[in-house]
Amino acid sequence: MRQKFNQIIYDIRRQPLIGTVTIIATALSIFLFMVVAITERVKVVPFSPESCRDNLLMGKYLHLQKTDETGSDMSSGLSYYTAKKLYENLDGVERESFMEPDLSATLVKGTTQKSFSAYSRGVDAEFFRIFDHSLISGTFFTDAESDANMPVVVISESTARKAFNSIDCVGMPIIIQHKKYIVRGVVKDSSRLACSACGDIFIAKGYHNKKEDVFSSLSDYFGGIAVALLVKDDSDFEHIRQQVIARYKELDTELATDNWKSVYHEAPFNQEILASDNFGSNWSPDLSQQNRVRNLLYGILLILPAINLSTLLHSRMRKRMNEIGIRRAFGCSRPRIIADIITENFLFTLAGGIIGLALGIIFAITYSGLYENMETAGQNITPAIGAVINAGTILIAIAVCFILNLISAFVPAWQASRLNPVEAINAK
Amino acid sequence: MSIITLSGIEKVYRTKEIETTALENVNLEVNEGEFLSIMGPSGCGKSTFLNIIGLLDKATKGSVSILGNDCSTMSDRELSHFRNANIGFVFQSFHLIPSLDVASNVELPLIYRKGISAAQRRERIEKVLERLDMSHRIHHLPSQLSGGQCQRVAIARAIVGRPKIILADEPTGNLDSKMGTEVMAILHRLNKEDGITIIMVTHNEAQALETDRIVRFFDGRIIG
Repeated sequence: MRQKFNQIIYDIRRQPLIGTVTIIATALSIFLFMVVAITERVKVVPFSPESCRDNLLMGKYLHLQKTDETGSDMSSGLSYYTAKKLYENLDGVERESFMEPDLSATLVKGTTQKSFSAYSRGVDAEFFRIFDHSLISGTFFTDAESDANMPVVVISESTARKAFNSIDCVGMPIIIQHKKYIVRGVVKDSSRLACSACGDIFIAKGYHNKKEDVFSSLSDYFGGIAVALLVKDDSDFEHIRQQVIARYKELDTELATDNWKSVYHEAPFNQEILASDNFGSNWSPDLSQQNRVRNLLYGILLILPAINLSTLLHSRMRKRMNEIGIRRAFGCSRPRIIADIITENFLFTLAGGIIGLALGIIFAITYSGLYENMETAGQNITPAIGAVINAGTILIAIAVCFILNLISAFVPAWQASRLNPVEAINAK
Repeated sequence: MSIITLSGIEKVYRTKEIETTALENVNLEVNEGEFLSIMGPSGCGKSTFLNIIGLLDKATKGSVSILGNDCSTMSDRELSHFRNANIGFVFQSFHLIPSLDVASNVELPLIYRKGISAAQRRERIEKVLERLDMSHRIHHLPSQLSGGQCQRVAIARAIVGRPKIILADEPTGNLDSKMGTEVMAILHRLNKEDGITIIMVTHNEAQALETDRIVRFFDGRIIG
């Protein structure tokens, strides 16, 4: 191995341009790969307040279709009635929270002079037992408070500072959409990447307190509620889906009287589906297409630099034909030549990879806003970055280096191994 | 006792347009412990012949037997192992690997041999360099050595694996007469003390006359 390190240093000294370009090209390709990989991984890895991602399922939509020849359909979010009917008390579920799936832009005013816009979400008390928001002061609201629809809220640190110039605001009134609430607690800001759990203001909503007899027409199947299910073990996901399918069938018996039926779309969704753009209220998620596109992207990100690196390696090998001939003369077999060149090139690639990885990490931290959408740019996503930059990320980077190396080095290595030893020794 | 037997060796280089016969019906037996010189004008097939004995090149026709093994039918892997175990090479241009220091250059044949630990390799390298009076240069790069020193290192590399045969292709061709004499003295010592069979291509009549036998080539044939 020492010999290989020496060889690399010698190569760089002898051909500084090619050596440097090789390392920079590798670094840039690993950097690009890391940016894409981090962007993808951050959508699925668990981090606060969605530390439960691996065990989380979300029921969000209902799709109904006419059973007559018109085949007309309607789809939207769930009403409390439907949410309860489809997702309440499922076997294998540890906790369930009835909550608003999307953030609403709201006008907020505290004790500071100016009102401002913030994003709110109606949640029940169970929400804070599923999603691990960190309390800075005060408490979360209780089941009793949310069930009773008490006007209480939990707000984020930045919202507290905007509204009160301080986080010591527990018990203070806050005006949200012209309605007065009391601040029960202040939590740390959460990343917008935690799509299901983030928010500036969490308003106590007592979904459990609603009467079931509100059901009076077909439109009452639909509403603005989602159900977050904390599952004991992700191996139970399929078992839970089977129960939900059975519940859909039960729902169909109700709907049949009005000539409607439900259309099942893989609900409830796991984090992989939630993170994808391939789901909706009236169509089934198609991860295979997304995976194909992603794999194609990764393939391009690997093959293009690999072709360049292969050319550079070929050029380096031409300068070392003599050496290859000598090694062959002294007993180095063809497979060993291939293995040696690939190993040596791997160290070269790894040097570039380490630089690329460092660039990727620096970029991810410095320009964390890249991962935000336009609407919420500027939110702190440091926890998310921390979740994706770990030993696993480094292993991925090393694996990418290895694959890049294999693709780029194999052909030049194979060609080198096929050299006639006599011609190689006498090569000028 | 014959250590190398070549029978009916023919080597033809073919391109689309032209066919060149480099060796034609060459037969030779080399005895164990013999120091043999090969002489002849440039382009007469001396080096081609040496490459065939060294199993670096294959004859178009004929058979090569070394140490009782028919090498004509060996696979590439078998040839590599055989070369590693039995043949050492010394080249006119030394052909040391420029990125490696003296110790690593000498180590080369040993790293392709199984069953030798790093400590054993180290010991062998030190011994062989001491024998060739190059211990003080063990950590130097080839670029930091004189021509004579480079050839000593090349000889050290050739003998570190304790081969039965050394093939030397004009080993003094790039050296001044003093260095050349020193290198020849080393080769004679290895031949006498270690009983290594040496086949040397040379243009130097005086050096050839010091060896046990001279084989003369002309136009791809042995003429004497």
